[in-house]
Amino acid sequence: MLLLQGFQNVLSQPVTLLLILIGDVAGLIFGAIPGLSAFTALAIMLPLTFAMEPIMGISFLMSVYVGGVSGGFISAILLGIPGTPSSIATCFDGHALAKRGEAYRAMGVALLFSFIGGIFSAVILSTLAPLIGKVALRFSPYEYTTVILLALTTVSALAEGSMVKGLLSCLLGISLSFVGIDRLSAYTRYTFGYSSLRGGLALVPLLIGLFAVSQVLTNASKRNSTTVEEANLQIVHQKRMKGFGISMKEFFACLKTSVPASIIGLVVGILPGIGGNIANLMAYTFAKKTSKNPEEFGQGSIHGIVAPEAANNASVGGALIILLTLGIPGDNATSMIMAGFQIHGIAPGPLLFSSGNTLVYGIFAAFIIANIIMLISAYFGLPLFSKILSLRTEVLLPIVIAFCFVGSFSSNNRIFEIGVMVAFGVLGFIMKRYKYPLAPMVVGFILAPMLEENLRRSLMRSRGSFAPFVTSPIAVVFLAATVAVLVLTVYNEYKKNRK
Amino acid sequence: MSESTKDKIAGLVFLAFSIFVYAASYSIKTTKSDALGPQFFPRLVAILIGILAVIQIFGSFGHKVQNQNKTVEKKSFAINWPLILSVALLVAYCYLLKDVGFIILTTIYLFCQIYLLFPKGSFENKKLLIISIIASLIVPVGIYYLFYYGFQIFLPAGILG
Amino acid sequence: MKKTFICICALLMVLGIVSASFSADKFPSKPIQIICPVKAGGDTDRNTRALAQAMSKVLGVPVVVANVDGGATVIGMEQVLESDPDGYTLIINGTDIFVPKMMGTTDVSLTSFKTVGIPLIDNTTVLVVHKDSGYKDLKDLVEKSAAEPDTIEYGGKIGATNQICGIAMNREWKAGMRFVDVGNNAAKITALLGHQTNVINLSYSLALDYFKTGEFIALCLLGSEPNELIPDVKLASDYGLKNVDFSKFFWVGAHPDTPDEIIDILADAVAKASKDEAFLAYLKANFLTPTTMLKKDAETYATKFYEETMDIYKEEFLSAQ
Repeated sequence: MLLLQGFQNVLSQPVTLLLILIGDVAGLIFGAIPGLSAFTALAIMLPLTFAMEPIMGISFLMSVYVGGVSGGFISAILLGIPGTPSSIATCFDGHALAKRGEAYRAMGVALLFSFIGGIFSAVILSTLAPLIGKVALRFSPYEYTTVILLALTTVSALAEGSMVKGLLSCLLGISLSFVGIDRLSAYTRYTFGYSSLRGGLALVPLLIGLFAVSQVLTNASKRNSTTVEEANLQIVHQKRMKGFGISMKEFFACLKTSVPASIIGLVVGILPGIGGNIANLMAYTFAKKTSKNPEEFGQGSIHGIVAPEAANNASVGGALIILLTLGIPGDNATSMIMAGFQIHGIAPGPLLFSSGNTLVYGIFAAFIIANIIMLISAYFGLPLFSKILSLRTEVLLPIVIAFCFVGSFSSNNRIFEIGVMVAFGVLGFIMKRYKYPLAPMVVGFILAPMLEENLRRSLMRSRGSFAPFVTSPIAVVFLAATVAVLVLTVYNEYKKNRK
Repeated sequence: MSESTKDKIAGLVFLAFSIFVYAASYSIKTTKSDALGPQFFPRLVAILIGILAVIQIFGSFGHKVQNQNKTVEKKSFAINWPLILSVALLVAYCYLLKDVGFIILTTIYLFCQIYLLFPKGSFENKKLLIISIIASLIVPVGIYYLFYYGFQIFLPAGILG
Repeated sequence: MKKTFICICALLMVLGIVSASFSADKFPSKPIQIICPVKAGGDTDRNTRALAQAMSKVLGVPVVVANVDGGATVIGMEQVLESDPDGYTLIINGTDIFVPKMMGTTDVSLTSFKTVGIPLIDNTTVLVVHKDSGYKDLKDLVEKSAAEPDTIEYGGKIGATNQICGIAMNREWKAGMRFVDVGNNAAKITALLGHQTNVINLSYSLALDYFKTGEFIALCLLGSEPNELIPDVKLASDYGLKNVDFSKFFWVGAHPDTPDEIIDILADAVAKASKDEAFLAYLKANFLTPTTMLKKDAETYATKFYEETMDIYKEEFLSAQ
């Protein structure tokens, strides 16, 4: 009932719908450009809302957020370059499909299930938010440590081919995360006297270096072995399709994949700091491990697109739950949303639910509408996005790199970040050559600092005792799950080697 | 190079890297606010990398040499100029950006990079050449002004500032 | 090939000449950039944006905020030191500016710059407990912590002013709280809500809702003067204890080689901005105190603040790491 009032609130002025449309499209574009993300989009769009009425401003910000999180699939599928960390897994199968000329179909599926993941989390958000907020408060460093451990083990199982190589890649990512200030002592590590390294290596330049720059280098390295005629033959003709590119039967099969993926996304999204970055990879791994045809994953399975896309959009709802119920921003993007809310006189937090009811439900309604409009606007954009591929790769890729320069630079407003991006481009190129998977490296880089921080924080609190890890019921559950994943992975590897 | 030789080389590099990470951990300022301290994790990771590297080096001996790829990869022995020039181009970009500025440098970068990606002789096709020039000219200017006026993000202006 | 290159170069030269002729000699003739050395979204970032808007009105050119995060504000500060000393790149910082030098990890500090001014003081740092903790008032907390040292946890961010505050409270009040790392402000609120830590310090506006519901109790204001906007929160001196001042000044600086005439223009702009109506309204909404300290005065204030409230705890702070 209250939700209906919320809808009324949002829809009472048709301008709001237009703003949501603009926000969605702007968000999609930012999400699609490697190096720019939902956070960048929000930071840039925030000042635009100053003059708007609260409900309009909030609707606009929500739509930018939704669009920004969704847009990542576009570059992931078309170029094999994740626009944001939350679409790394989408590259695996999405780009494989694009190479077969089925970019349209891949994007259709990605869009449809981004929407379904988003709506799923919106429903949970508008019904169970306060309850989930309370549970989340039970998480202390002990529980966090175990959750992150679980995420790290699950995703390490992602390694394609050789497990040793996957783990080495992951550990390399972990060691790179040591550079900079140690969060539990405030002294620097591994900066070797370079002041620029004091701030550590940033995720954005690392990610686009590894995926985008390395791609350019790979293509350049093949130049001498290709002739003009061969290059002309390599142009893939994209198939023209209608609708979302899948049949009803396929849709229902995908729906089954999307349910656990959405749940994973939601739960991981609730935990501050982990969010969509990791949710998409966890969901992908889960879908692959539970699939009847795991060998299709990575070759262009639509299920391999459904899982990460449903998960990363579901994680938005999770992050919003914590923001709205507790007033705690989980990541950069949500802290911008929070700043936006405050500008419009809304303080996310417990009082939001007891005092300004209609406004909260207005936010929920805006979130749902933003998802719907995102679906519609991006649907009409699909043929347009596929058109991008009609530009020759030789021209398109350098243009993407130009955007990557800007993305790296604007992520922290300094040229040093571009240098980091180039360095990781070279590293990524070498790793690909030597058949080391790149995704585990990113995962290690994101998760390890959190693991170290929480583990050391736990031990600081417990004065060096590990006991709380086995006395907390939540921690025990996650620890058990970690062990289970570990045993299963090692067993599978063993079986594979026996064959 | 066969796969197993590649693995051996990579294994050795990782082994050297693990020793490096471990050795460098000695220069970390130790603190006593928590039981593990700032050296624990880097050392643990260094040891794990070392173990895995050794496994990989010895594992690669066990594998039967797969000969199928051998002939195909032989010809990459020559110096790969497009690759080296692309890396040089990127490195030069970082060093010159502050002084030269975004618009000029990106224009040059785009044109050179596009040239380095097209197979030799592609520009005899005038259409491709024109597309490349137009893209190299328009994209940097477009990005710069979009960010400047649209988003108030100042990219390095360099000479034009 | 060659022809194309020459064409491109020629075109760019023309562009260069055209845009160069635009820059006039009067300051400011182009947008000014303020480097905010922390991530977007926090209270420092918010203050910077409010100031930038007000300054832009005064100076008639856009004043733009660029976040350069990392290295406990050192990365942002160094970027300003590397920029041209033309007054078009400014830096803001707060009390955190002293910490990296205090820890001996850098030489960069407030005196590495020319001070433009201090337009506001954040005298809203409060000591907070959860209502379920049962501490009646500040006295009660101090006595209980002294009776059983190291049982009451004070949660904060290690290697930051938070931690120095903990040392100061223990020393000045003869309390026995144990410092435990919890993380940033958001993490501190979470920890206190979830009963995972006992005491935190926090800017009042960050947990306004929780003060309203009564879930959080602000035991005292960590400042040396009362804040009229939060009259309910008493100073430590009201309980007969020494005031522990952890208010935060908001400082604007420029490259040390910036010409004095330009500093004068900027200082004048900061002074006018600090009296701007929208800016004052912003301050009031966040319980912040407006002030207009300029150039040397501001520098003296900040340096004295450091000596009186932070430097005296330096040894203990370093040995606690």
